[in-house]
Amino acid sequence: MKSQVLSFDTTGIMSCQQNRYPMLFVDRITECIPLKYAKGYKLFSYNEWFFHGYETTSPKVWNVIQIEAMSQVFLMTFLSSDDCRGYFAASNKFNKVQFFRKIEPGDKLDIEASLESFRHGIARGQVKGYVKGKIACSMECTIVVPEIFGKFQHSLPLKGVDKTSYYNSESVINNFKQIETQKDELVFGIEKIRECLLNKYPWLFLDQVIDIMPGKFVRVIKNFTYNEHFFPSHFPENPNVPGFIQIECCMQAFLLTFLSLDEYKRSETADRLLMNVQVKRKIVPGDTLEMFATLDRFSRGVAKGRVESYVNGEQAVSFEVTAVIVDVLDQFKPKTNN
Amino acid sequence: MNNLEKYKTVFCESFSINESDLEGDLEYNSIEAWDSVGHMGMIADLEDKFDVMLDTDDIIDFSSYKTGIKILKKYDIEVEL
Repeated sequence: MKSQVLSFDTTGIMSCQQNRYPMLFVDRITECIPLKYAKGYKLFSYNEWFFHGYETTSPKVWNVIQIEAMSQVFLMTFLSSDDCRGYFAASNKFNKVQFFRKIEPGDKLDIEASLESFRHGIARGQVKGYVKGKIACSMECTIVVPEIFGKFQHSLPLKGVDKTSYYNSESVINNFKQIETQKDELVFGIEKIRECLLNKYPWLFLDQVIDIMPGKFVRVIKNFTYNEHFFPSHFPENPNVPGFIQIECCMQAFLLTFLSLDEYKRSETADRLLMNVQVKRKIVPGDTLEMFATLDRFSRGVAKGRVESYVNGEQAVSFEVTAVIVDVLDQFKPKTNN
Repeated sequence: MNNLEKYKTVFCESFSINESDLEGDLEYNSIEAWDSVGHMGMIADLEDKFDVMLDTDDIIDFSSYKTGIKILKKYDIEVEL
């Protein structure tokens, strides 16, 4: 029997998934066979809120917004099926997340998502995004539907709270600090953070630095309070921090490891590759996210490192990252005939 | 591992490609992975592998797989195809 090909406008999309303004990042699903694939697109307009959270003359679509747009089209591969329509879904893992080009206001991001498996409430698949026919972003992802997964989770062995990873992250920083001779009380609040990053409201997700050694590491916190703009829509009955915002918090922590160096303060950056992104817990209003970012390598404008984050010592988001300082990198581009 | 094997390994690992992709002359921007960021990652790996530090001009001139072999020669690294 031939599968029926479906399409959805915004109303149809919202009947399948719970994302709403200002957290809905897909405009149309043009082609979809439930439990197989979905194709759709997102248009970008300068009128959108996230373009205004960075001091630049050349606004661009944040990479985590691309992740979220790809995720939301991927959601349609299984939330469009009659058995799952309208369920909540939560980000779990992303891997090989790559960004190939700058996406600007006026661009259209065409997204193709394929579902490789959907069992026990866990969906795995691949997603690619294109602008004007050229690959713009891609990733592998795992999304969990708690309502289905929960039924199976009860039969799995219970795991106690394990703070080993948190203590490991603390010891990495303590090792760095043993090398440091100066030990004055650190005052590094929002003013100093803004001296380093170009980010501003509503796209600045760091509150206070606890510890920092520029060029080596940073330990920084972000408080989540219901007064933030994303909680009322994500979600009205169940407010929690969207996965892509959790990732962006950690990305900004990583950027601070090298943008705190005097010569690079307030430089324009782009993240290029994210590996082994794990979103391990729900974060709700009243939680404080504590992030440990380390810079493993920093040369000629390319920065590689890792971020681990915790809420009350329990693991939250973690990933490995490669980011670049755009102006520095441009100095080393090979000559071509194009 | 001889220098040619080391050189090929750097390209294959940096750009996630197979040795067969290096036949002919792979050029900057001819595959998605060899863009400006991929370029700097490959140069860093090459420097680690051969224990050299390339000059900025050589990094900019390093526009293809074969051109890279000529550039390494300036650093007394012979890669024989």
